[in-house]
Amino acid sequence: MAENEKKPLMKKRDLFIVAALLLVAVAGMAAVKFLSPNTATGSAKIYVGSYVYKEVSLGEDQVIEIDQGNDIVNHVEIKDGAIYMSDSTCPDQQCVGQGEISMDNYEQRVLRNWIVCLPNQVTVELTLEDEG
Amino acid sequence: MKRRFLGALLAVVLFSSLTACGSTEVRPIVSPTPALKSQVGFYFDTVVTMQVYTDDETLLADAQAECQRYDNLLSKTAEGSDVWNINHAEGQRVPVSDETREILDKALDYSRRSDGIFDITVEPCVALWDFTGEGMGLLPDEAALSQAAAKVDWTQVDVNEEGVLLPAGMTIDLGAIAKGYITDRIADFLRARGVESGFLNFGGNVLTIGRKPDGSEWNIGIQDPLGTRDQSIVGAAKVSDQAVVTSGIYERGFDLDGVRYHHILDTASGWPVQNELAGVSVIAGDAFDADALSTTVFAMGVEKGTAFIESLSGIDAIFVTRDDVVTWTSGLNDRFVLADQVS
Repeated sequence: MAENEKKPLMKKRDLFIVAALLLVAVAGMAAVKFLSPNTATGSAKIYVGSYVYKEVSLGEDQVIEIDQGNDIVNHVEIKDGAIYMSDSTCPDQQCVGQGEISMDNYEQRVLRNWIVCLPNQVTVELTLEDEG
Repeated sequence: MKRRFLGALLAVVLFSSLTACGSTEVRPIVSPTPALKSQVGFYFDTVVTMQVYTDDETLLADAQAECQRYDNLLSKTAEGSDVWNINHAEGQRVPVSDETREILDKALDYSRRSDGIFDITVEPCVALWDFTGEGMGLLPDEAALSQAAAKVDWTQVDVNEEGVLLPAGMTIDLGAIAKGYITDRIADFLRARGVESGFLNFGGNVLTIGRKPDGSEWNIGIQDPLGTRDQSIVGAAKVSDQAVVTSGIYERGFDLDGVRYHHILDTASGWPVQNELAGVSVIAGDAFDADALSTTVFAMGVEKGTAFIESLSGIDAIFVTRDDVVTWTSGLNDRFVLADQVS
């Protein structure tokens, strides 16, 4: 009788462990899904004319040089999840004045998720979601 | 009993974890929202950005080709364009495309309604100013400018089925409206190809197609014409299926001896309009109206401009004075929020 009573108890404990492990696994998957750098900080496309020159993640601080020759050079910088035109050889410097874009501020910008250097035809687009 | 209960619990946990992952992976099937696609291009001496929700892979490339077609048709500087032909006809009638005729009809209608404050024949004056290039900072010769202003007269533009007739010496400039017209035509093109949600920015002319895919309205930052940085806003307006266009003294212009010389010219004198305004943003059902009205209402000033906008249905405006006073028309009372109240 005593042995008969113990067996189901062990099984119950096993089931609790399995359930707990499953919960941890599900929580882990959710964490990976929601905290991955792409959704948390976003990504951006840098265009020259109408063509995508480079796609970058905002999760990694870096400086991207866009050199089109003939002294037409722009530098795009990513810092702390924000992207901006740090310098440009264009005459009007409006692109540098357009400041930084991040997922937090783009709705409060006139150009929303874009930075435009009209003379050098270099644009930066903060990617708003996965694009096909 | 207990074992069965645990088995059921385990099944629920397993099932919910599967569906939790599944719902994100198969979203395109569950939700009918097409993917966001974007494109940038350079036309009409400005930048054009398009962001639309569509599954049509070639749509934005085709829309760009349309932009190029309109650019060829309406450019003032491209030899052989309709506008170039009109300006070089020396008093002869020239045949034009249906699109050009439509723009001219609409432009003359605005001239009529604004008593000539809006006038496409202001081109001879525009030609004497340089607000962007090498000649920036130089004032035109006063005698030449008053001679040019004397030629400005929209009533002399004769548009009929055979084409356009302009007296010799007169020229037209569609700068204040061509961009708006093209924005509308591209939006029509995108809608005809099934786009129900999108955001276009044609060199500052913003046009929204429908609402955002989640059903909410678009929140559009209204440019601060006094802003020290180009991206500062005076506030934000909620719009859907509407265009927003801003005209102001800081877009194109220069300062000289404490005076701001800018690109919105008084059609009577040829000199830049000098009133209390720094800028006006107009919200209208299409970009042509918003484009034409922003220029017109700017020239009218706050008081007359506000009354003019209030007399039109479905159109609103936000005025920013040089003293940084922001006012808006009644239709925006529950749609416009000042910048310091924007979260």
